[in-house]
Amino acid sequence: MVFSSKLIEDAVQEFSRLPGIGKKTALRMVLQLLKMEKGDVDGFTNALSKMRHEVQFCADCHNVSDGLVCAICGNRARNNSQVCVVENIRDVIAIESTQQYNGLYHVLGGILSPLDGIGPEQLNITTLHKRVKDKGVEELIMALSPTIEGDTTVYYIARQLQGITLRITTIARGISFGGELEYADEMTLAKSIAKRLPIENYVSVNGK
Amino acid sequence: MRKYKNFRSFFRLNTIKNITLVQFRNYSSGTFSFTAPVTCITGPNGSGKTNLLDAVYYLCYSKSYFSAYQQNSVQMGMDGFRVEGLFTHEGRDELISCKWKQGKKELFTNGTLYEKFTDHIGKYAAVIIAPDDMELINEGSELRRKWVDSILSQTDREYLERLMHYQRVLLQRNAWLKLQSINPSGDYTELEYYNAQLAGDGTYIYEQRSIFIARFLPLLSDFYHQLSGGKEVIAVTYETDMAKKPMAQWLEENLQHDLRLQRTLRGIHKDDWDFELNESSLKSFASQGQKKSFLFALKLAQYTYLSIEQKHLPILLLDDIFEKLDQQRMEALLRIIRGTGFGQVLLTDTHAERVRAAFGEQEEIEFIRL
Repeated sequence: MVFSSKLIEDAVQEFSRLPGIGKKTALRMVLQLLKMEKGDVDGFTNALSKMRHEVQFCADCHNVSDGLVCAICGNRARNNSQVCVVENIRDVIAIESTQQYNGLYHVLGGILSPLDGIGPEQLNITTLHKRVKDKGVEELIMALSPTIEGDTTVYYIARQLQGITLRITTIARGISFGGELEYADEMTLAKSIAKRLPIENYVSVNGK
Repeated sequence: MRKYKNFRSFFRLNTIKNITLVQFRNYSSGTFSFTAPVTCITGPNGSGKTNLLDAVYYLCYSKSYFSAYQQNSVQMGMDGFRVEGLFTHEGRDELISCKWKQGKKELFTNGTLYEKFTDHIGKYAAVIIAPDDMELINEGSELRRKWVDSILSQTDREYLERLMHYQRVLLQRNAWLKLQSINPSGDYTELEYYNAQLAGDGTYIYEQRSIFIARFLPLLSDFYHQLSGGKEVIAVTYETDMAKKPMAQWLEENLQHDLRLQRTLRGIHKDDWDFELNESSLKSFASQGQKKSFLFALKLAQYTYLSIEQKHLPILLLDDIFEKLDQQRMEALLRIIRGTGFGQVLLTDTHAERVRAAFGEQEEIEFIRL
């Protein structure tokens, strides 16, 4: 791509560093910004700059935060005896969007994968250990992907916390909600049958 | 048509009726039909005889027998290929198509896309016997493991799943060993998990391989004696670390060695099979003729094993084998493959007359001349 302006070229270059943005999309964005009022563009860039400078990571759970402690950890209405362990901030957003969980989180910042050079020291496991010991956590919910790496991480954390009185659970695995059996893959179906649940988990027939 | 005897009423015949190739290897396009029980493809060297067999194999397994790189199956200078074949599966016709374009492969049954290739594996079986297969006897253990794994993966879904899981965990364990050598943490918790996973899968794979070899050996021995007319005692020894101690114990006790060499030294990924004739190693002591008989017996036993497990007869693909066989072995081979327990045969040869003479005048053979 040939630009007649070095200024435009630099701006395009910056935009195309973002994931999913190619040169052409970047150019479209730059041209749009060029059409906007100068004040509006300042508002745009200030928001970005302010975000990067002022965002902090919560001292307790490592989630993004506007202050020292994030909005979730700081919320008195939430159940602080329950902590949900997730891989990254995106998982927090996904679980929060369900509006079904009222406990706290702990963001590991990855999962154990020696192939990618990720060992326990890269993850926020020490802080989790401390939190469980000091803050009266009663239940740890492992919400990690059901892969070799996810399962290794679950095992690792469970072993680290051995000896502490604590309930450790993991999110259910199996047939997805509203999914039809015939479309489930065999592995999932086989595991779902092996790990079947009493019907009381779904319907109640007592007292009828 | 030949009369199918009792054996065949138990085992359904899976056959391929025709095949269409587009930009596959040396074919720009072409359609070939296989109507007789035996099809012979003849033509000069380089005319694409083997490629046609490979295309049939491709439709059965969605990969080439001869080349590990998919790109090699594409006609020179093109960016994709298509292979389409009409099969008869349990009495019904089924059109299997495979399209490969710029690294993306799609497989269809009667025009519907398969969501997973593994759903197709095991539906149609084919066994190839090709000149280069002698590697199976002469070369290293990896080829033999792949060969056993390919048979067991077709007949046991759990074996395939566990094998893939084992290999992925093994990669993580080896990566962990490497990380430890750079930066020893003294924390072996991850290792405990990898060991437990490898031990679980490894034990299952070891058991299945043991059962397999016990059931395979009588078939192999029988075919060898039919082919060679000899009385040699055939043995296949399953050489595995697991015979000495269980996988879990190896992983635990061998940790210091593993750490030093930064990879997992013991396990089912090191298994091998030693082929023996009269108690001496086939690889080192047998004659070329004995090896040849052994190789054919291995493949025929593979065919019979698959037919028993899958309850249908695979397609037998013979690549240029008449040239390499003496009269006695050739006659024995033909008696076997035209006898009960064998189904459709596709073969290649440079000389049509040789094949006609070998099978005899009364045999119904369709000749395809390239």
